[in-house]
Amino acid sequence: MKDYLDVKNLVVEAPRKEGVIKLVDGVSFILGKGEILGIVGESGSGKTITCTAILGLLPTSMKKSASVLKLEGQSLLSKTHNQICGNLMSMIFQDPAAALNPVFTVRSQINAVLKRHSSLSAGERRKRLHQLLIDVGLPDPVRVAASFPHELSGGMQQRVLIAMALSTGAKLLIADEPTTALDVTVQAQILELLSDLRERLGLSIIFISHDLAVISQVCDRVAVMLHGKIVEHGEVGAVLGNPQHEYTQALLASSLGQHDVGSTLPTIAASQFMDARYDK
Amino acid sequence: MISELLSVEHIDKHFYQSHGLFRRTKNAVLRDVSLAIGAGESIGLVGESGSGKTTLARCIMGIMQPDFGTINFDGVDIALLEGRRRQQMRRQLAMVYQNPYRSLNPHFTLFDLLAEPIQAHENLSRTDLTKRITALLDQVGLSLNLISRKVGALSGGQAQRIAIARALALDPKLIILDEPTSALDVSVQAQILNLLKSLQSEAGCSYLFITHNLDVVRHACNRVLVMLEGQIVEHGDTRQVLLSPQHEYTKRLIAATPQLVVGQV
Amino acid sequence: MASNLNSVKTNNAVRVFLSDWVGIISLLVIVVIFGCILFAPLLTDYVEQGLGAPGLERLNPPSQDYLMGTDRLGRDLWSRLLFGGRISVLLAVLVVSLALVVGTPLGIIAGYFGGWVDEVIMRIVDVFLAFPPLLLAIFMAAILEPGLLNMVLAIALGWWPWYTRIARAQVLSYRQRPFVEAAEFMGVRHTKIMFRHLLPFVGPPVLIQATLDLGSAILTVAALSFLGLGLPPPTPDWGQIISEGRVYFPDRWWYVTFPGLAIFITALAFNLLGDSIRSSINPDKEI
Repeated sequence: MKDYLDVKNLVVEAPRKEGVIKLVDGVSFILGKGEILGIVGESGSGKTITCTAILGLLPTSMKKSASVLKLEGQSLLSKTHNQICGNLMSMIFQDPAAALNPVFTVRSQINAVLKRHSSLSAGERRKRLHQLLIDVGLPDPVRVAASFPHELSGGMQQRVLIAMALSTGAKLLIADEPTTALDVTVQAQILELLSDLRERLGLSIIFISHDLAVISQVCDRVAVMLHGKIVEHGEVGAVLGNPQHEYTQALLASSLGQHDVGSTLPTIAASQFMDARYDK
Repeated sequence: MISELLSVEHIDKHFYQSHGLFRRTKNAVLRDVSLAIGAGESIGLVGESGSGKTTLARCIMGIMQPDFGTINFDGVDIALLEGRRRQQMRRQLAMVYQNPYRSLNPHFTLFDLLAEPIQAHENLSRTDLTKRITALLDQVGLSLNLISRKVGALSGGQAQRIAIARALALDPKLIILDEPTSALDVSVQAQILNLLKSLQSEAGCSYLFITHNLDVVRHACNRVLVMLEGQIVEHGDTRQVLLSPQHEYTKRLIAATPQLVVGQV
Repeated sequence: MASNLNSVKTNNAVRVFLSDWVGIISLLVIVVIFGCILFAPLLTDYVEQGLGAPGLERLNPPSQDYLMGTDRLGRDLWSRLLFGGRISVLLAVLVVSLALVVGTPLGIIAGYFGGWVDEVIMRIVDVFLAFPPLLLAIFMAAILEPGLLNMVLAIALGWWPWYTRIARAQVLSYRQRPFVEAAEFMGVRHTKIMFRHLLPFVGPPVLIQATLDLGSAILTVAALSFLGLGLPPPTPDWGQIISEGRVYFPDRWWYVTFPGLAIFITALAFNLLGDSIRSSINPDKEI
């Protein structure tokens, strides 16, 4: 698999009362074409900032730098977010209801994206819209297209957002905790959809989550982040089956669902992994 | 023989939705729901959105009234309670919500937050009040130094501990926990569940966990009830239900819960 | 590690405010005005004239002796403005305070209880809002006997409903929050919920409105006085001075210009200050 997305030594700095701190501290990874990479970490690990930095969506107070930040050989460092977002890659988030405009129908929202990112005629757009909704597994595309977001369930809303992300023509999708707010059975369907899209459309996906079980289900490789750094990465099975870094081990150990019913869980003591960035 | 602390018998609850001027549909949110919680038990109520679990919790709390059926708390039908006796019941029942930053007033100091339930029911001197609050903080493993800070200054885990301390303030017999760990980081979830377990053996109260997460039930509940579309479709001992589920929906839930796929060598 | 969200919000608000030079200048102007009014006797040689005693030099233009000239009874205009300012500003503060103190609790009660309580209060609010405030004030002032309290009452009558609306809107948006439900469930009394839980959220927008209203109040008080519906003479209020000086315009321009400027600058300063405070307090974000 050729290197689709190449990131080396990405650093994001933000000003704080104590001085400038590195929210992302030298993160490097590679995403192959058609690959699903998981980034797992807890709050404050920098997993979301890493991706917003790649998209060029950082707030102006934060500074980013990287030795390499390339998509298909082209450097992204000099591009504005307008050039990157949508055209080259897109992102979906945790709360689908919040990402959709409640006063416009699904059709008009996706249409707006199609207009911006393609030069199709109105008729062609209508066909493409229809196809996209089918691609994301929505059973009744005509009805869904005419609906308002609040008329759809959480799972359907997330599918609509995935359709919107695909409608831009981007081949790289960043999914930030896309199933955390959804019911378990719906989550399973969305995960299946993402795998399916990877198979059929050759979509490359960066999947951010705090849930190791979800990552193990859908990702090929995984990177574990702690305090702005990647502490371990590799094939999902290998990393989770044989974790090398203390933090990965601790995270695995305290994950629910693997221990005996009713047992007391091993925990990570707060003192075990201190955040050195804030010690002054 | 477990003595029954809470007994819910055959309750129904519907909501009406109006469609235009003359039409109205009846939405059955709870249909013939029954359950019982004994002293010292830890029950899990599992269901997805629309299952009715939140409505059921609100009926038990007394915030909503069921259209049919009875709810008995400590042997008394809660629908019959008024005024004074209702206040008394409120002492025995406490609630922990999902997001501590939203269930605790951000303008209040920790002292105020813990003092509030106590002051609403008892008339304590400042010294006695402080003693009680200090004891509560100790019980949930928080340092006394934090007492004059506000919730915004605490981490998610610490904030939820305060919510738990507040629930314990009046020594309740039953604590209802609504997704108490969903908003927390993975490593913190384990800590909170362990804390709840140890508190239960100390305080001798019962827990009712409302969650969509089977893993929480696995670790925190000795019995589980599975809800689907307003009905309880399966119930029993946790280990038994998780290992050999009977109902289709339970099987689906278990299958959909992501399992760690650990690598082959 | 977590930062204290509340103190970060306040720090940010202060920082934003301080970076807005318009707001700072307005604040300084207001401080200066208040200072002058407070220390009036120290700032002039003609204290009795300021209080109404006639002088010899009538209708003199501004000079070294009389900074802003004299009025038709020979009184130093600067002194009259200083002492008149006490009245104008006092009245404005009283008006806003009364409107706030009456309107805000009603709004909190309406928003908290809902149902028929809300309906009744809001219908009363609607009735008062149907009248243009100035017209209502003029009408009331004309009916009531002239006097300080009556004037305050006349104006506040048209203004209190705004505070009710603002308070109610805030209460409605926080009413459903889990911490309110938790307090209700714990058996906390209604009054405590309204005034300890919800009031801190009601406070900021109400205070901003009050600051803005101080500016408008100065204008309204001046308008009423100008129309002769204000306080009985010789109490020198800015609007009254303008009313007196009207016939002498444009020859004795100072008679109208200086009190006019005083009203203008004071009202403008309060308005700009209120705007500045409003922009520095970000809308509450969901946590």
